[in-house]
Parts: sequence; structure tokens; C-alpha cells
Amino acid sequence: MDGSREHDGTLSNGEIALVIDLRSYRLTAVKKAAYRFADRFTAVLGSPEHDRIPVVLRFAPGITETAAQAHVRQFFQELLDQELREHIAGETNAVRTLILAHAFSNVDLIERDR
Amino acid sequence: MPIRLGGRGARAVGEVSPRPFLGRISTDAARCGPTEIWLAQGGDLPAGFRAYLLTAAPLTPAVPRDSYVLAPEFAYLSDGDIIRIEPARGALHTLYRRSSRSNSLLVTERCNNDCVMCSQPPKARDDSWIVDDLMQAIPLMSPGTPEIGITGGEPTLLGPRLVELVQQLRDHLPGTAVHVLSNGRGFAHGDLARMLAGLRHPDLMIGIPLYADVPAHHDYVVQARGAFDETIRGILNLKRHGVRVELRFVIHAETYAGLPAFARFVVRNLLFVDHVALMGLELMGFARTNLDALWIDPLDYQCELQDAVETLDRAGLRVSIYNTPLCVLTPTLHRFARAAISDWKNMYFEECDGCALRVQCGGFFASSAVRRSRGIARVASGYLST
Amino acid sequence: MTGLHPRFHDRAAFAPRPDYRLLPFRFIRLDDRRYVMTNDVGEHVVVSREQLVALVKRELPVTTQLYRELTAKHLVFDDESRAALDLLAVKYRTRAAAIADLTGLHIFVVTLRCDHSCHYCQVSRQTEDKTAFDMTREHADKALALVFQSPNPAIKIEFQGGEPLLNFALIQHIVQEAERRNACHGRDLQFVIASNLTHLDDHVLAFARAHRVFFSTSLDGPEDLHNANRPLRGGNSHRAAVDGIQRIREALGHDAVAALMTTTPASLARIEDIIDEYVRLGFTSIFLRSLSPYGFAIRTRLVHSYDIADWIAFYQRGLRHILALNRRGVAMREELAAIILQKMFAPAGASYVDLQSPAGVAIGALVYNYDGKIYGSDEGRMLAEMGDDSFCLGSLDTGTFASVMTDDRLHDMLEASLPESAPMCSDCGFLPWCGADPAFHRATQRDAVGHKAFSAFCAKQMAVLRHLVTLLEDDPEARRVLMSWV
Repeated sequence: MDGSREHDGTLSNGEIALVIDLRSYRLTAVKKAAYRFADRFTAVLGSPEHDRIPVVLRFAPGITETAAQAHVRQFFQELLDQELREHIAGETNAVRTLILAHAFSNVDLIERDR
Repeated sequence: MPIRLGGRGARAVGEVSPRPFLGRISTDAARCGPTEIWLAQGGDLPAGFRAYLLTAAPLTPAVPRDSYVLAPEFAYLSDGDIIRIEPARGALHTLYRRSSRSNSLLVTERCNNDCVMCSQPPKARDDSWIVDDLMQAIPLMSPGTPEIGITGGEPTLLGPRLVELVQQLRDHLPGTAVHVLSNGRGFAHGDLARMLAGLRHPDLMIGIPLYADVPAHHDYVVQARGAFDETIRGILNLKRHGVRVELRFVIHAETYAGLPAFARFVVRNLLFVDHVALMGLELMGFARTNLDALWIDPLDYQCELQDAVETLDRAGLRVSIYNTPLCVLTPTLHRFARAAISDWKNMYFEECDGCALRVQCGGFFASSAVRRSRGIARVASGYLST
Repeated sequence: MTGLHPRFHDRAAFAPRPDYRLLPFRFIRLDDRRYVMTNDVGEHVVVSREQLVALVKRELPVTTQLYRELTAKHLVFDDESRAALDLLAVKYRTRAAAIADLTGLHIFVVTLRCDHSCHYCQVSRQTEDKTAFDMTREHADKALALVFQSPNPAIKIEFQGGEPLLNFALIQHIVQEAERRNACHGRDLQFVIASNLTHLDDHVLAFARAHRVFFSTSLDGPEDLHNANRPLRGGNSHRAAVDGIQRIREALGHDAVAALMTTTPASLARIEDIIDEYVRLGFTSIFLRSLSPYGFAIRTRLVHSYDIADWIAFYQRGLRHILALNRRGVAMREELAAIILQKMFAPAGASYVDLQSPAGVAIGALVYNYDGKIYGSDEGRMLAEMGDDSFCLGSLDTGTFASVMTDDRLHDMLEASLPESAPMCSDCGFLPWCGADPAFHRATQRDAVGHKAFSAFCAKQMAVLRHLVTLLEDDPEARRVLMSWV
């Protein structure tokens, strides 16, 4: 990644450069949000440094500034959602395992003919 | 007409037993013995009976030991009925009537719930003698008895003795359906559900009240924190062991609004239950204590009731509405209404005379006069039930 | 309201503990202001973003109606009441139970020959050479042996083609042989012939009546549209279908024939006409399907000629028309919505093989092709006709039910088809109501899992699910009708 690039979030050569604070969004959330937006742009993730990760969004040729900025806004909403999802998954995974273990160790409750 | 099942109905004449005893009414001089009680219809008193019931004071004092004059309100007693006599108090209690379809055995008055509308408020005292009596009474019952109910109090508080009781019913009355009214909590832990299932009773159903889709509301209605969890686990345990379960929901001011959510919860979580009974409030016991807080005119919960019945019925569950006369029920719900009030406390109002629906209607509890629905009305003939 | 007698406690004494815990759930944006939360067994609650965040941050008051709903739908619990865990386990098991039954639907492709030349057809052949594209009796017998090795108590045998009635002799043989075998198996056995009905005659009807065989036919809409989609050499396909439907109903009963429509670019503007045609012909259900990316349809680039957005608009218009019909007292239901609603509200979910998790491949349906090859789905054999044999699970010459079920290719496919492990699907709030379509993604992306951001299947599912949830939330009248389809 070009260290001198401006991360001002404007569209330039079909790209928008951003820096994401990993204290707000964990890396998994950034990756998942980027995957989900693959139909709108390709997100190139740089190497994280001091809780910050540079990200370049590459759009299809011919995209307007307005359209690109709309995608960026949605991307940040998605980041919030994705961060929340990671939080919930982390908190509930143990309970899910417990329920599944319980589900498949019990006798069938429902008679066959019902 | 409602009848009286217990009271000071047996006035001793002459010498009596020191302790209470039970026996079966006999009008057949040949069927005598230590468990038979002769019901006099005039004439001589044959020898060989445990006791004698006279309909009028004897002309001579020369009567057999344990002779009693029967109070007129017990004139309904007939051959095959089972009664308990407490000589010291002159009290008589009818345990079983051979001609009735609704014989219920109250097995204890103790309970671990304290439902705000309980029609039979619990009493915290040792009443284990009741089961001893019932164990004796069951062999005396007619094998043709269609159904026996077991009620309380909370029957599972008897623990293994409940299993013995059901076993006694199975062994002596194999053709009789047994319906146990329980709050289900006793089946949540331990072996009770498994032991009961192990009896392989041919026709056993456990009726369990459930009042909400969430713990807080159910626990409030039954006034016991943690009851919802135990009841749910009890239901799951019973079904896991193959015992049939009926859910019972008593509709009153504190429960009616939750009917639709209750129905959705049952369909989603407990679709394997065998029957769901939605029941009108009986204005007895605590229901009368809390009358102003609990009373709602059935006319005012028909929307919620209809919604719930539709949800349950569409999911393929067997649904019944009990204790609600047809005149106050939305016509589309008539097909779910069952006449289920026990004969001894069933009555009809003046409006019922000449009502087109009288024959198929369940009528009222004897206690219903306390608060009347605005909807009670004679339905004119020509009415088409849907 | 008057309070209880003082010996009783008031509601506050039974309030939930404030330190609640989250149960496993997923969420997805419904619209600008709302989110759909679902648990693993498909129960859902619609909330605002603020409510969602408050819930996760433990700032949602436990005395609110929303908290009650979240508790009842098993999205939260507290340490004092853990019955939710028991009930979730039972529900999870109930939903999984159907998988253990294994294959219920068995498709016999008795011939590829056909007298129609439909533009969208995926497989058929027009040829006079009987031997090349007909299933042999030996293969049919071997397939039947395999059918009865499946443990499923309900077995449905469906005859497909081509036009299966062009090889009616083999159908007769299979039905009679299946009945003979079933005498000792005692399964609930059903037969369906998927036919264009041009070759329906008294002989076929008499046999169908004697053996309780049902029919399913293609009906694309009014006569002009149907015939444009389904050209029949020297004939009128629509008339043949309508006549056939009437004759089947007279001979076998009203419900002995079902109709299936295929959506083409020409259909898009005509959805109301199509539905009205179904109503006119006495049908009470219609399946608004999208064009599948196989066979002839992809070769003629027909599949690209209408965009997924057009189909979604078409679907929404169709559903609106159907709901309006219901409000006027005309009974009609839309099958895709019905399947999804079943997944949303019925404890056992829905058994539709094309929308299962894991995919219905082989464990839901098996296809015995005319040439003796075994496929895990109808789409799998269509892919094979396009030269991609990746869904082939062996041959009737050597295969047994056990060999098919233990085939490594099948296991890879099933594993890959679990949305729980697919990127994007694994944390999608719609996961419990969705399914996998490995053949679709294989056909469109050359990969059975596929990248869902580019998947028309995903776009279509999302749109239909959002539409249905929105109707359920915002339109009480629509909700009443939709709930009656569950």
C-alpha cells in the first residue's frame, strides 16, 4: 500500500481509500462486510498498524462520485452490523453448542405417526 | 341440578364405630359383607352389612350397630355408590357415584402452586389418609365406570403413592379412562414421569395448566416463581416417556389478553400435546376472593379466544372450550365447545328453558350466579349452529 | 383494575431478572428502519436498530412488551428460567428429524422424447428413435430396488421426461412392480406423471384410476401465452392441457391434477392474466417460479433476457393480485410464499426439496435418468445434459441406495450446501428460512456454494423474504391470508 496516499475518502481513479479503526470494528467484521459488498466494489485490505487498517475500495469503471459515496455509506452501516454480529456470535456460541448437544442426546418426542 | 357431596348427612342411631369408615351402598340383601352399606327402602334390615342407612327414624331403638338416618339431600345415593362416614360428626361424604360420568377423586388438598383463581384453595396439612381410603374404595367401583378424575390439591405431591393409585385403577378398572389434574411440576425432576409411564395404563391423560408463553406471566397466575420452568419440563418429561398430556388454560381478566400468544407458543413448542382445553372461570374459592380482579365477561374476550382457537386448530391440535355456555360464545366457536361441567355442580338459568341450544350446551357452574355474562340469553329456535 | 386480595403477590414479584442472556440469533436489515432477528429454529422478531443495540448492550427493560416477545420466541433467557434451552433443543431436533427419513421423492426419467419444442426446455429430445432416449426395463427394475432401500415411510414416484406418456408401457410396468414390492414394505406410496397431456387417452386414465396415479402438467397462462411458450407441432398445447385437466378431474377427481407454470420474458407483463387463468380452471394454488438456468434455456440465452429485478417485480405484483383475490373470497395460494411461511411458522419447517438445508440433493430426491445414471436432483441431470456431470452419483448398473448415500461426492456436496458454513449465509438473518441450491450455483458460477453477492438465487430469496416479512408486519389483512397458508 502506498503510504503517501491521502485517505480523504474521495473517489479518485475509480478508488476510494479509507482507514478503519480496528478498535471500533474487528478485522473479521471488516472482512465479512467487504465480502458482502463484492458486487459493488473490491475492497483491498492493507496491513493493520496500531489498531488501524487501510482499505482501498475499487469500483467498476465509470462509477460516479455520488454512487460510490452511497456505497461507502452502506459499507459503514454494514460494518456496524457485522461488528454486532461478531459480538453476538461470540457471546452465544457456547449456548448454541449446549442446545445442539441437548437436541441430539434426547429421545424422540414426537411419535412417528404425527 | 347441583347436588351435595358432603355434610352432616348421617345421624347416628344407637351404637356406632369409633372411627371413620367407607363402604359401598347396597340394595341387594345377598350382596352383604364388611364393605357393604345397606340402604333401607322400608322393611326389615338384613344382617351382615357394615352399616345401615335409614331414610326415616326407626320406630324401635332395636337397630344394628352403625345405623344412621340419612339426610334428605343425600336421597340421590343408590346401589354401587361409595361413601365415607364419620360417625363422631355424623358426617357423610360421597366418594363415588356409579351413575355419574364425572367421578373425581380428590387425593390431597396440599399444593405447591397458589393460583389466583383456584376453585379448590389448598390446605397445608397432612391428609395422607385420603389415599389410604381411595386405595380401599377403588376395588369397590363398578368396572363399567367410563372415567375417573384425579384432582387435588396437587396429586404429584403424593409422589410414588400417586403411581400406586393409578396402578390400583389400572388393575381394578382396566376399562376406565383416568384423567389426572396436575400442575406438572412434580414431573420435572426424578422418576415420577417414568414410573407413571411404566404402568402402561391403557387410557391415561395428565391435564396440566399453562397460562402464558413466558415465565413471568405464568408464575404470576400460579403465584410461584420458577413454576413455568418446572411445568414445561414436566410436560416434556411426560411426553418423552409416552404419557398423554392435555394443556389447560383458564380464561380470566389476568390471562385472556395472552391467549393468542399462548396459542402461538403451544403450536411452536408443544405441538406434540394431545389436547388443549380453554376454560371459562369457575367462580369458586380464590376466584371468588379475587372476583373483581379476575372477572371478565366472556363476551369481552371472544376475539382473543377466536384467534387462539384458530391458531391451535389450524396446526392440527385438538382444541376444546369448556365451561362457556353457547349463548355467549361466537358462533364459529360452537363446534369446539364441550359440555364438561361435572354433573353435581352443573346448572341452567331461567333463560335456558326453551333455548334452542339447550341440548348441546354445557350450561353453567352452580357458582355462575355470582357474576352473569351480559350475553346470557335464550336462543330462539331456527338458530343454525355453524 | 381492582387488585388481588392482599395475600397474593402482584406482577412485579414475578418480573424477569434484569441480567438476561442472549440466545443464539442472527439478524438482517429489513428496510431503512427495521431489522429481522431469527433464532436457529426460525422464530423471528422485527425490531428497530436502536432496540437491537439496546438488547445486545443489556439496556432493554425486561418489563417491556418487546422483552416478553423476545423471551417467548426464544431469543433471550435468564439464569432463573432455562426452559428455553430445553424447548430449543426439542425444536432443533424436530426440524432435523425429517432429514433422517432420507429420500422420499424418486424421479424416473422414462424417456427424453417429446412432441413439444418449448423454448425453455431443459432436456427434451425430438426424435423418432425410441431406443436411444428411453429407459430400459432392466434399469427401471434396478431403480425400484433402490427406491425401496430408502427408509422413508412415504415414497413418491414421479415420472418425468421428455414426455413420459410416450413411454407409457414402462410407466405401467414400474407402477405394478412398485405395488408388488410395496405389498411387503407397506410404505405410503404415491405416483405422479408430469405430462403435457397431449397423449392422455382412456387407456391411460383407466390405468391411473386403478392405481391411484396423479398428474402434474404445465400451464403457463392464457392460451396465447401458453402456446407461444410451448409450441406443439401441428397442435394446440394449451387446448391439450385444458382438455386433459378436465378429463383427469372427471375420471379421477378434482385434485388428481396439479399445474406448474414457467416464467418467461413474455410472462412478465401478464402475471394477473396467468393467475386468472389458474382461477378460471379451478386451481387453488400457483407456484410463481423463476426461470432456471439450465438446458435449452441457457443455450438460447433466455435466462439472461430478464433481470432478477424484473422477476421480483413480477412476483410482488402476482402476490398482490393473489391477496386481492383472497380478499374477494377466491381461494388461491402462492406456493413459494407458502413454503417460506411454513419454514417461518411450522415447527417441522417445510419439506420442499429445492429449499432445504442441507440441500435436498439425494437425501430429498433421487433421479433415475433414462440412460441408467443416478442424479441427486432434477437440476443435476439437467446440468449433465449441459455437459457437467458433477451431480452424477453413479449408475443403476452398479449402484445401491447405500452406495449412493455414502458417495464422497454427495457428502462434499451436502457439506458445501450447509448455509451455516457458507460465507454470507452463515450470519444472514434469513438463514433458517432459506436453503441451498448447489446445482444453481454450479450452473451459474461453476461452484456449488457460489458467491452470494453475485447470486440471483440469493437476490431472489432476499427480496421475497423481505417482501413477505413486510406484509406480515405492516398489512394485517395480508397477514391473515398468508397465515392461512401455513
